[in-house]
Amino acid sequence: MRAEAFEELFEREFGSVYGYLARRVGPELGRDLAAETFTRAFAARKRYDPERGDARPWLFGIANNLLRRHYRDEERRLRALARLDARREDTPPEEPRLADALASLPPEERDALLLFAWADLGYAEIATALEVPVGTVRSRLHRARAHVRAALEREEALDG
Amino acid sequence: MDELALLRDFRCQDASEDGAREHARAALRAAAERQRRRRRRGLLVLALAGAALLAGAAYGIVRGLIVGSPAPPEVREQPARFGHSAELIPVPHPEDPQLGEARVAAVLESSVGTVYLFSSPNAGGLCASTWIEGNRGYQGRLNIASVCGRAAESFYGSGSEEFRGKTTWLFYGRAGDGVARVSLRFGDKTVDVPLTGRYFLAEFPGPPNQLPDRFLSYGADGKLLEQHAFGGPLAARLRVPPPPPHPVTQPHEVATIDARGGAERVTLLVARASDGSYCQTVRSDRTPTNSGCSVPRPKPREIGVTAMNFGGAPDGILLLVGRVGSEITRLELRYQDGRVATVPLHERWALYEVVPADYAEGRRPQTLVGRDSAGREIASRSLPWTKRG
Repeated sequence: MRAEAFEELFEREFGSVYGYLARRVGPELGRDLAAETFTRAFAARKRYDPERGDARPWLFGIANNLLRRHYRDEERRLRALARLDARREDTPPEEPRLADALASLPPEERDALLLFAWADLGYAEIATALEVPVGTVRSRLHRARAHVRAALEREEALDG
Repeated sequence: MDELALLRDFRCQDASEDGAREHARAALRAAAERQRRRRRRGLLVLALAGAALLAGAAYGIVRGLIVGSPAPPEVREQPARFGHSAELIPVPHPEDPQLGEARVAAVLESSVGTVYLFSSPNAGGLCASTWIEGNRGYQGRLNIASVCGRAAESFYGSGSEEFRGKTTWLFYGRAGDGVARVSLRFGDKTVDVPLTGRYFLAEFPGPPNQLPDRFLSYGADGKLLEQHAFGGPLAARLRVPPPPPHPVTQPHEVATIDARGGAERVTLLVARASDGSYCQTVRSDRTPTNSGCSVPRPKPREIGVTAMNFGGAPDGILLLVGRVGSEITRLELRYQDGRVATVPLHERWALYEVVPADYAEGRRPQTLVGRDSAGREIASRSLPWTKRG
């Protein structure tokens, strides 16, 4: 990929990559991870074949690899959000439940679910990003959605 | 229950960029620079005796990443976000650089930070504009200096730029048709200014000893094509600027309003400035803070209230902000359609929102009128809505 093309890619995709990372680990760490994602992509840009099509799965794959070192940070943050948000009156009631449900998901299922929900990647793109078969993405997504739905419904029932 | 819809709304507020893009750009530049150093180890930066010139062309990989690409969005959005200070609703002027079409023409790692040179068209030809990355001024707008000319002839600008307490002296412009080499003469020394394509951007030491006195351009055959002596005007522009005014008292809050129909609380803070003027800060929780000094102290019968596009047009809040003189106790705002509103004064400061419904011709605010304690009209100020000539 030529440097100019990379610059265009940066301008076009930075917002979505940063948004995804910041929503997962918070704006501060997200900012560093987003910068690292594009720095690594820049270093590897000559190995990227534009014939492969959309570069988003490639970028989100790099971002997700960087996230792996921070799964624990993410879970701590989600649990803290669940506790804090539950105490705040202006927080929508489902937010702490969602935070809690996400925190209790296995990381690989959380990756698939959030790449789908927040990065707007399709099944095949998620498979490329995570380097797993599409069937695996389908089953992870199915389990993750069921888990989150069940957690929300359970809490709703408890709330009466 | 649609768990996906709930998820899509979850923690959206964390996705707000807040400088993250700039942070990533800086990291990318550093990575590109590291790559460049690895590849070009041994490259000598030209340092000519008595007139060390740093030039954008030396930065190959940085240039490879950026030069030729569109200018950053914040630069391209300038004309839309910030128009002419004399107008409440910005109107583009044909002679202005059309920054919406700006592209990076050169990059220079100067002594005060990264300097970009943007190329863009205007009605009569082309423009070259410089911006020190991160350099923002009044109303948060980018401090961009531009020079424009016709493509056939060389044009250039030169002057000092202050940024973060340091001053740099820049020389920039575009080489005309047929020009293969551009030089500056410093007394008895002539220094080549490297070209990046047809554009050039260089830093020089500045006064007291290093002021260029002549611009020279040559064709490919070495023949002198242009020779301009820098007379008084340039020398005047190159004078060391006085230090900018700065606050000498703690800013204190004088007024607060609920703008945008109550959706945004806007606060005005003021402080005394080192040069006897005021420093004024308008801030809110939604719009970038607007802060600056050199707000003049009005005379006793003078209205120092002016219009401000807080956040920049077209999406900002149109505010009337400033101070009135000591004899003015009441301030009125007269609209084109005959309405009259009272502008509240707090310690003689005004902070007033003009709602978007009143931007339309026929409804616009037209004149501010100041009255004394006896109700007499003692001052007035027209609000500038007309297009620049």
